[in-house]
Amino acid sequence: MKILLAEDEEMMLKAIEFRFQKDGFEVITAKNGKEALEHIKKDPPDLIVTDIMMPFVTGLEIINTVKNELKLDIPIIVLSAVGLEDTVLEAFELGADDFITKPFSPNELIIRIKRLMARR
Amino acid sequence: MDRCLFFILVSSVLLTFPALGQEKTDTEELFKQARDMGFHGNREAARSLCRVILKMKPAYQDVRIFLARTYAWDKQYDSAEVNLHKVLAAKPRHKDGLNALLDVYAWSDRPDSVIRYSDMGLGHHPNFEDYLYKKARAQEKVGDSKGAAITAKQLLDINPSHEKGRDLAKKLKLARMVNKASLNYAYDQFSVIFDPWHMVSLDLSRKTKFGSIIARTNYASRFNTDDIQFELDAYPKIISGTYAYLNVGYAPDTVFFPLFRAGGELHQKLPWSMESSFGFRYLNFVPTTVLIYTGSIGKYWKSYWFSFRPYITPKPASFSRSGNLIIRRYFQTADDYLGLVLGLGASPDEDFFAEAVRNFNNALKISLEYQKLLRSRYVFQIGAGYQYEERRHYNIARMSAKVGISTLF
Repeated sequence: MKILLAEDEEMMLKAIEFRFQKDGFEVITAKNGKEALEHIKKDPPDLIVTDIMMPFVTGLEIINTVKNELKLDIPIIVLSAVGLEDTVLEAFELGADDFITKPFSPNELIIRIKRLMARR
Repeated sequence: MDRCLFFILVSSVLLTFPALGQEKTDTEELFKQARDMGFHGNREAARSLCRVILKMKPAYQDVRIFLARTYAWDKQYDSAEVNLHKVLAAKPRHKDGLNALLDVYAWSDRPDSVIRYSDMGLGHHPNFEDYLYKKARAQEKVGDSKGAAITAKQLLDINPSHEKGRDLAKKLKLARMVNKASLNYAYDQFSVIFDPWHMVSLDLSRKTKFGSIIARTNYASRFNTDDIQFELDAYPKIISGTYAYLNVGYAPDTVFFPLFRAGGELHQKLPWSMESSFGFRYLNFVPTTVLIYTGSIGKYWKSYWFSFRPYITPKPASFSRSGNLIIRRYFQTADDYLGLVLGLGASPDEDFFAEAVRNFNNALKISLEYQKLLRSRYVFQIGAGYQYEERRHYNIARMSAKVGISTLF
């Protein structure tokens, strides 16, 4: 299974990337939203994990493009921060499938991914 | 003032000792008074009284030596030297006179003269411990550590329990071991998200007459993957009191370490046991590069070393700042110490990621380290630290521990 991971915090990006690889996922990383959209258009992944606040293109814009413009059926998990509850609601309205608040346990993120994929 | 003091002293001498026929007793009593004055800080009066005694008894060499010593204590080395040469002109084999002259040369930073005159003294008194010790110290000072070790051995053959001699011999033995191999392990545990980090370093260093050179390999294991970095450090001596720090590093896989790193810093010794430096660090995390300006100001005070090192990293529209305050308490040797590090911001030398380096002003840290020289050959080091980092969306605490062992050879 191929996961696109969009996160601008480098240490977080590496930590999640290596954790996903450890669990057998194929991972494509993007350090900003623009890079993420380019990957999605070129080679759509099976699942997207995206931060909300990123330079150039935000996580909300990724959700909107994937779900409403490209009409792709790709599950999206949002990485949010405490204090961004309104933004998370907006993400759900745009079509996000799940969210997890930083700091989070990588194990919990893996469980959410597996649960989301199992429902499909 | 001197003349007035001299008149008072002569008057008091005449009043106190009207029967100058008892010259021997009188001068001895006056010498006792002069010594009391000199040892209690009243050096000018002591010198005046010595001069009175020497007028009464010009060949009283002990008085002239004491007079010279008072000059030396007040850093009037020329006057001290003149008086001691008068003693030696009259009595070339005068043990105490020559011994005092060695002190004058040692204190006035003339180690070559100490060696020359101690050789002269040893010709007359080959087993005199003071001459041997002072000669060994002077040989060490001029960089003749081999000669110093031979002299120190001669001293310890005569008196194996000579404490200062033993300390010097130990120091010289350490100085002769110019190679060092070190193995260090560091462990970092995070409060959230991240799995523990491990790092192992292997260092090989050599002291040369141009300065020290260190080759280092760093192996890091983080996020269940590995990275390796090769580094070369050099501390070339430029002129007396000035030396540089040069560093280059390469990490072929550049997973965590920068692909290239370089550093340069100029260190200058200052008066009052102080030292300062300024320089830079360059980290090339492909495709991002980070340039950090750094420096330090430090001071030795008794057995303590205080140092402050700031880091300034230019960012597109601002600067990122951090700094470390280092306090070390040294014990028997430079390899024995207990250290405390208080930091604001992560040290850029922990170059994990460009992002981490640039945002290092949002962290506080405290760490303790202890280093001990064992059996004059092995250096054992342990350390522990706590760091609290404020990241953009969350806070994280990091507990660190490290252990290291080095062998000198």
